Amino acid sequence: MGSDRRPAAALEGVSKRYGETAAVADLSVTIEDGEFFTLVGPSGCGKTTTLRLLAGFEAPTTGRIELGGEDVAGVPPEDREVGVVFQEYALFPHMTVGENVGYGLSFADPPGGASRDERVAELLALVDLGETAERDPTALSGGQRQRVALARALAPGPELLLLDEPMSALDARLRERLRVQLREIQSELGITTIYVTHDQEEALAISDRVAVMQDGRIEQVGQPRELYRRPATQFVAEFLGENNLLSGRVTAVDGETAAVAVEPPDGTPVEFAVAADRTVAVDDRVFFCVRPERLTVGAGETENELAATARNVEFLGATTRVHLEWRGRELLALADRAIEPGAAVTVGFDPEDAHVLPRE
Amino acid sequence: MRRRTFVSAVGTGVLASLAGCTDDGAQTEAGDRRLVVGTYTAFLDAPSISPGEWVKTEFESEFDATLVWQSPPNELNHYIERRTSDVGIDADAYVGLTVDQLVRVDEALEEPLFAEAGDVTGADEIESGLDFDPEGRALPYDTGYISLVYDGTAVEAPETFEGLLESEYGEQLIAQNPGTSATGRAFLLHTIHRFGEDGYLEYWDRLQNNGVRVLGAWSDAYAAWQDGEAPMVVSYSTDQVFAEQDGADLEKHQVRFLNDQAYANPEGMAVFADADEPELTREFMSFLLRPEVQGELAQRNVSFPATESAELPAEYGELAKVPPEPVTFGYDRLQGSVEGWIDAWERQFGQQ
Amino acid sequence: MSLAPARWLERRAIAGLAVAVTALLVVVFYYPVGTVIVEAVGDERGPLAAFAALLRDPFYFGELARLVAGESPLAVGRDLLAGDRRLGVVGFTAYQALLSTVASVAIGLPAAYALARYEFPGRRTLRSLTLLPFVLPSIMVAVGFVAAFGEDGPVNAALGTVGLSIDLFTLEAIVVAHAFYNAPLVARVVTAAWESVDAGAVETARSLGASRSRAFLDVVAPQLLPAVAMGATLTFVFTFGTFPIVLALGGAEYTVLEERIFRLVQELAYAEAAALAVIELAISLGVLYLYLRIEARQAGGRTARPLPRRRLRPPELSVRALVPRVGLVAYGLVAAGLFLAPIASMLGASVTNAGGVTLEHYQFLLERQAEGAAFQAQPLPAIRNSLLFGAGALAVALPTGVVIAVLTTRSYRGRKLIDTVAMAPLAISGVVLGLGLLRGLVFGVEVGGTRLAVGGAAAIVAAHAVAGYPFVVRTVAPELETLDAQLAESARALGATRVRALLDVELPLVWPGVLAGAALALALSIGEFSATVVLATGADQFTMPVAIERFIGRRLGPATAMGVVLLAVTSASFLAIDRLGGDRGGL
Repeated sequence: MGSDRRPAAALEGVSKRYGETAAVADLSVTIEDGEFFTLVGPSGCGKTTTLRLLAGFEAPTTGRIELGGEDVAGVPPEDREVGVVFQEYALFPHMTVGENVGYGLSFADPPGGASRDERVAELLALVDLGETAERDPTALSGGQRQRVALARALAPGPELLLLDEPMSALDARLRERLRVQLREIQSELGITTIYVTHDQEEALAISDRVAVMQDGRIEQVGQPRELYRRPATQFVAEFLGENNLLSGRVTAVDGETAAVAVEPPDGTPVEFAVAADRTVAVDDRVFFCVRPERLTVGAGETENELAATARNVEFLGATTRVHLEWRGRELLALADRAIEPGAAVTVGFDPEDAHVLPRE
Repeated sequence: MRRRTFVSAVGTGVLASLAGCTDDGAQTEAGDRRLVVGTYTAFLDAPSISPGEWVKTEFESEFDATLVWQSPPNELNHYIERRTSDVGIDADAYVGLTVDQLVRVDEALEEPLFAEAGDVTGADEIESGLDFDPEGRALPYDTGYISLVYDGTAVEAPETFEGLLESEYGEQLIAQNPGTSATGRAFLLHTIHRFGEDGYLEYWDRLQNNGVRVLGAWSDAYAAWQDGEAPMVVSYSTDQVFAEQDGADLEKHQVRFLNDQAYANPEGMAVFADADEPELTREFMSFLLRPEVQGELAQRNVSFPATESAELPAEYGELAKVPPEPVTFGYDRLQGSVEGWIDAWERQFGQQ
Repeated sequence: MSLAPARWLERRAIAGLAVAVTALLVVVFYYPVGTVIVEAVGDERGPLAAFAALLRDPFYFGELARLVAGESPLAVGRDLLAGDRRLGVVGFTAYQALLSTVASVAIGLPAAYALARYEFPGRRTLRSLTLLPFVLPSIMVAVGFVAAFGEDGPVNAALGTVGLSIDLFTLEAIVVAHAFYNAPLVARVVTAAWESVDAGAVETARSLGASRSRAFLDVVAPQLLPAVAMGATLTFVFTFGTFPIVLALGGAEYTVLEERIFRLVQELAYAEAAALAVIELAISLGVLYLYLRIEARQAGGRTARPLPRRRLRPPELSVRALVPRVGLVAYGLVAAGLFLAPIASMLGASVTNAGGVTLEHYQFLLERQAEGAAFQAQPLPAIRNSLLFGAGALAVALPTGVVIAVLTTRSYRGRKLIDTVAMAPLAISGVVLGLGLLRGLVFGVEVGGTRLAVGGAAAIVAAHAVAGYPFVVRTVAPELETLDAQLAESARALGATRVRALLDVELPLVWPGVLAGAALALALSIGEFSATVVLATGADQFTMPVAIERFIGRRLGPATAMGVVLLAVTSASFLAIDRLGGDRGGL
């Protein structure tokens, strides 16, 4: 398995049904060799099921799964050469840390001709737990346990690393530190990694590519930056980061700019100029979105302007979040100066900072 | 080592066609002819009353044949089962047949299980009162009498059945379930003999009201009696023979014949209809009826001989009591009735 | 992906074992039992006539039978509320089983508490010997009970002074003797569950402010409840389907279902016997099914760190330290009376005769060993066979039980039903099984002109294993079910086959359950009687309980001497296994 330049993993039209409910519906995606690929979505979106299908813990109802270019239908988990790390670590409580890490080496020789003990030591060093081999895993902290689980999964030298919400049980600060460490280890080893999380920030921070899932389907696949800037669907636009979503009717198209008339709840339509990066026509009803950090506070600085009222202001140190009310709608902006709640505020955005979503 | 032994033990067991009864290959050691005899387990194995081994030794020393004992756990029913399951009967004779068993055989099977005894030397010596098979298949070889046994230091047992109903005998008697015990069955039949099939249930109703204990097996009842749970027990009239062997106080092992009667339980033998060795079987039956064998058999089985000519030491008769008037039901009386009698008794006594 | 042959085999181990287990059950259980059960519908009056007759018979179904017979529910209901209502055989059997269950749980639980939570000299020995009563033939128990609790018995005299005496030949005596057999079972399975409770979970609860008793109620009790329910269910099923104790210590006033089946089989009234056996089986399986349905899902995973044991000697003279310990000591005295007195009486009976103290009964055993004929039961072969059959049965029952536990803890529709059916060997009438084994195995089946029959040691081992594996399922399956599935999945992803994941990860984590099941299966094999006598091809295959039964004569001395041998050999083997196996190895 795993010759160069073939996709590390591929799903073609994969579905998984439990009775009447489809956990995964007609899923197709290809993961490249060496890639850090993340499945992100709300709970119940089918991301964990997808991971379990890849690991061989579940069999697809329909469709084809390839690992390293080979169809793995009927291949049990132990023959798939995958490493799996679970949210709750799943360390074997009756074995020491070293025995846990070395367990997979009972079935495969350590890569690179190392002895079993050397390999265990090497991996524990890799996750900064050099001195813990003799310890009882229940005596370790959550973060340490998760690193043992990672070392254990990596020890036999798998072709593919599958991580199922590995950091959800940890506190925020630890999570960020471990995230960096995980990415470093992954880059160092060059191992193809599929990461499942419900945390969009984590997904954007860590991945080469991200697939956003909902209701068993992939909404959009792409690099984090691309997904953030050009969400393909309303769901992606709202799920990844924060967004101001407005809808209206196209009144004019002029080259790369379109005019969209937004009808606020109070009646009078307001026209905005937005970058028409999609093929839109006059009279189309469209959604467009503007990220809070692109909603500039202050008059006369941007092409589109809105007169709003500050409702709630949160000082976050590096920035300030301002919840605005604009003609019966809520908007969110980031400001670099102090704003009093209740103050009248003019915000605005440039057409190139508005992204028009395709019609659904 | 243990593993080896285990494996070899398994090896001998698989696909053994004679499974289900104690029929051991090691028993085949002398002679060409092989006589296979089924019986109940106590006849072979009980510590104090197992004449089987002696019978085998004596028979083989005289006849050029090997006697193979079988003792299937469900006794005669084993052979009935073999017949109804269409598996051949692998024995020549059965020893230990009782009247009610013979009745059961004939009700269960269309084809005869046993052949007529035919010409067996000594059969004419059998006491006429013991002969229980009108079709001449079973020949009695011994009998027992079921009576009351009581601890004379604790109670003076009543003379009659009616006496047992007196309040002074309340909770004083332990009997056995006629459904699960031969002595219990004999005692029930005795009450039917005494009160008739219309009257015995009423008698038992009064006996139950007077606190009779009815336990499942003779051994349960006898053990409870010995432990002093009650001073009277339904048992065998040969009780003092054992008491003497044990060195027990005979005063504590008194026998009472109610109404001067005791129920006789003759045991018979019969040749299977498809016996391989019918002639040898008849020789074996004759052998068991010989005067000296009859005497020895009765003593070893702690019972009474079936023939008039049996040779018994006089002192045996002093301890093994014979009732003035033995009573029993013959085949014809039991046929079609005995199960109904027991069933009615169980439904009344065990109603809850 | 080419595989080494060993790995190929390993990958198919579970499936292969499942097939082997199914084949074993069909040959040694379902087919034989089927040959008898089918008689229930073979009645000449029509297929269900036998059932209809039983259901309408007040002897069996008491007042309820009148409902079936078409009487007005109102009239029946009124009579049911009256004091002299009739339960019928079925109702009474269930009633005494229920009482026996309550008594067994009440007596078994404190023992489990003491064994799991306290450290005291002889604790391990006591735990090893917990199941000893389980191997005793009922005749020995009856003898022991009559001697200990009878009118002249020493124990009853002592108990009488505190108003606790037990009257023989009453329902009470039946219930107490049933508890003698089954309280150890309850104690054994609950001890195993208690030893699996995670100390961390209790500590977490305490650290969150729960009082000691609150932590017990919230954390420990929910994890014990399934084991208690299981012990109770097994006790009910056992006492529902047995009769020797009722016959020996109750009397003919108390008629139970299995005794009727025994009688009817003896009378060759197979249609009625089979129909009754089906009713008995249905009720037992119904109870088992209910238990499996309500089997509470235990909270939390298992860990390798059990709760620490406390010293029985109080650390301080405080009320909190003294109350449970004084309670345990008082319980210990009552339990010693209940369990030791009958055994001591048996010992006494084996060394006395009418003339006083004697060794003649043991002398008899020696003589029988030296001079016994080939067709007679002999002590040494009986000891050897009991041990070999026990070891063999365990070797088959353990993998069988574990495989069924694995198969029934996967989630799929109807698995509780399959789980229930897999418990059938516990619930089947022993009489019917005995007859079935005779017909199905000993007589065999004719295939193409040759009769295929199975008997002897292999068949005995198989029958014992089939009787014992349900214990293993019941002690292992609930623990497996609560085990974090991701542990096994992690092992699989690391390259372990299903069976390796089971052996390396799952079984070590549910080890107390495995041991408890193994102990029960072994005890069952050593105490088994009816299947053994049916399947033995000769006296050289008799076991100790068979020898005991064979040695019952007009005097019980030789049988009780053999009973003492049975106890000694069984104790020695349980203790030896404990010593060999270390702290986690003791049964």
